[in-house]
Amino acid sequence: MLKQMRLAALVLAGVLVPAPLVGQAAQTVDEIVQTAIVLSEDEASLDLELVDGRSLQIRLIDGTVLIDGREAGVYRPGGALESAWRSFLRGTSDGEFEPALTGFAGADLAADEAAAVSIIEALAPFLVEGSAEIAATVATEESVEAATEIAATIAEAAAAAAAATAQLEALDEVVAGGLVVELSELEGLAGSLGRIGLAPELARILNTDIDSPVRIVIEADEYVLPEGAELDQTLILVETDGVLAGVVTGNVIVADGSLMIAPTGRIDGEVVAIDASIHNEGTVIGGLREAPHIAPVVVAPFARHVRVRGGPPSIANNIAMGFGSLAKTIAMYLLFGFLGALAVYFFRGQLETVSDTVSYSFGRSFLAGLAAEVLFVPVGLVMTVLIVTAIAVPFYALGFILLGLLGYISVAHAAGENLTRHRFAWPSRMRRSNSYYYVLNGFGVLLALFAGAAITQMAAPLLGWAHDLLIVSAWILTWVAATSGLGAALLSRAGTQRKYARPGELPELPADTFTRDMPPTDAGARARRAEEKGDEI
Amino acid sequence: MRYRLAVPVILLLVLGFGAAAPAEAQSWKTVAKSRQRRGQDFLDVKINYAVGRFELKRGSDRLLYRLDSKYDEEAFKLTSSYLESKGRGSLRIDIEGHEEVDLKDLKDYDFEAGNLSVDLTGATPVVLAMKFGAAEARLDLGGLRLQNLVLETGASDTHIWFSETNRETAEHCSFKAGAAQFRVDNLGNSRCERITVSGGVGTLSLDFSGDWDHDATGDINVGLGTIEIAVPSELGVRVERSTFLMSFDAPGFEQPKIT
Repeated sequence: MLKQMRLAALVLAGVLVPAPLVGQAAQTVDEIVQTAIVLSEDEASLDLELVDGRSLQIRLIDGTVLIDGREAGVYRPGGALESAWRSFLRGTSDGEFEPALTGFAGADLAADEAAAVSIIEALAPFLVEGSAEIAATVATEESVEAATEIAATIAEAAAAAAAATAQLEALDEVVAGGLVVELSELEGLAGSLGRIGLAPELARILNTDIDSPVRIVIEADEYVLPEGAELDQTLILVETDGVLAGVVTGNVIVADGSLMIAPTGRIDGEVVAIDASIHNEGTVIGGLREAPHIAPVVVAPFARHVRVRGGPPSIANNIAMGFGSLAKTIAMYLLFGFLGALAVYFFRGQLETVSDTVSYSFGRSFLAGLAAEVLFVPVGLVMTVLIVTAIAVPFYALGFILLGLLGYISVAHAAGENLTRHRFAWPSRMRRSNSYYYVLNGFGVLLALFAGAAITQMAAPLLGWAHDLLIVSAWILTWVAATSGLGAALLSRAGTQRKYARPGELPELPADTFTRDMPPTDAGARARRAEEKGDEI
Repeated sequence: MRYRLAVPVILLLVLGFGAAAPAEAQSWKTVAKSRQRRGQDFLDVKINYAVGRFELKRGSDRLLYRLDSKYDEEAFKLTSSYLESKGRGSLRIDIEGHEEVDLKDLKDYDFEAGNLSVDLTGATPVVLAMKFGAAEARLDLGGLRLQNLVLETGASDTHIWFSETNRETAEHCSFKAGAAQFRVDNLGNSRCERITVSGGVGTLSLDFSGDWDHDATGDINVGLGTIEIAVPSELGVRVERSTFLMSFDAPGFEQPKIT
């Protein structure tokens, strides 16, 4: 009831706005520094920011007129007031700075809408002379009370904004890029940070060590607190390089970044480094310590929103994931098949030699590969330390990778060849004795367990155990194959020596290999070859 | 040629596959915002625009900036903020999809109807950084006091030109184009001292005509796309190239004899 009376009083005040105020509204052009107009299906609002920090927001939304968030009247959606207000806002947005609040609505308004219009129009002098003048324009005691209340709210907000601006300007810190978060309530923050992947150590510190407002700077290129500036907060730098030349009255925590404290810098609290480097030339009253448990801080750069879902995955999800795994396996098969075909085309002789080495000296190849894997890192480190050989480290790594790849393809070749030999009788085998066939079949064998694991993944609730078993077996098989292949590649000097490949025997050459391309290496084989030629003659 | 066709197809798929969508499925919101210029001596502008049409040009010098936008509030969210400290302003404009809305699920959707238009003052030095998703962007950067420019596009059709000479010397202009049609005209008017262009899959066109009153260096990297560079005949150019599986033609150029 009292509200309705206030409205009525303000209506009166609006009606009584004297003509000179219209002229005053025209003066608002220089007073308003920012306008924002929003029009949507159920909202039409005007937001003004004045030069002295005051602001005024008038919103028509869902049948209610709100002035700075306070309900000031009602309107009928689609009615005369809304139409007039929208038209007024459109006209204002087309121009630049002429939002004169008076006279925008016609006279044919319903009583309740006319009340709201009068309130809006009554605010016109506010734009020029300040909130106190609103009270002066109203006649009754209740109107004065209502207007004073509005004015006080707006003035309070303006004062708070001015104080915040003054604090910011006094602080004058520089943050290049990144995200700055300011918090005064820490409850639940640690848990939230933990969920999005921040280090447990940082979450623990946030839980225990902080009792003042917090300023968090995440992933900024640089954070600088210049000399003379003072920060009355706890400062947390995450993945940020900071320079402190001013004063921080709280603690400073640096996670996965660096901090340089200049000679003029002073930190009243303590400095905590979590996987961070601190260079201190200033004063740290609370001491400097490193967090005992160093854990990397992970902030996913593009994961702006995190969803946590509970419960086991659904059947549809299992099937989708199973198909996804199967597709990956097929893609891997195609990739390796392509690489294998290239290897057969360009390096058939070497590939077959390595393949034979695996077949006939599997144990020796595996042990050699294992030794190579164990020694890879130490040898690389020694090479890095010795200046003369440091330059060769990239070639060393590349050579290792290429040998491993050649070995893995060769194992596939050997597997395919052995499969063909055991599966088909001699005439059929001869038709299939083709290195391309061997390699493609071999990769099929090597990746079959992955495919099986993907299929069982689709029926995870029933066959989850089978999936786990198959995936472990698949990885073990892959490791054994890669290791023995690497060893075979080493033993055969990348396929150039047949010392461990069918010693004393003539290799069984695929049908698509010209015999003259690969002369026998030992005397016995040469003799047999000569004998074969003699028979032909 | 394949990529020339591919980019419009991508744009059509992303922007226009719902051109015939019923309008009532979308809830359009228009926002107009402007700020008076009051002695600011620097303006840092960052714009991130996901989908729609985008325009940027020089506006009235009475205003520091002005933005007009129309977007579907059911699917997108506009965030704009202006902060100022000691005469240095910072403007952020961000139009992104709601996190709970998967744009791929919005069939029959008129993405193209959304737009953002930004006017910037020509009286205050500006550092400009923009990032577009699937947008059709038209930017006239002429007449601004541009000190630095960083532009990154996704599957966009982007046309930038400098209709007037930049009123400042720009230290660096960086253009990074994804799967896009990307065209820059009158780069001579940009007064950029260092120009970096990086193209992914798409067609890039760089026109270096304009008012050259300075030396500039450029670094142009192209992935799978094609690039056409037009240089005024009166301009001396030194080209260092490194190509792999790409042809390089420079008709009309004359290599000076080294004595």
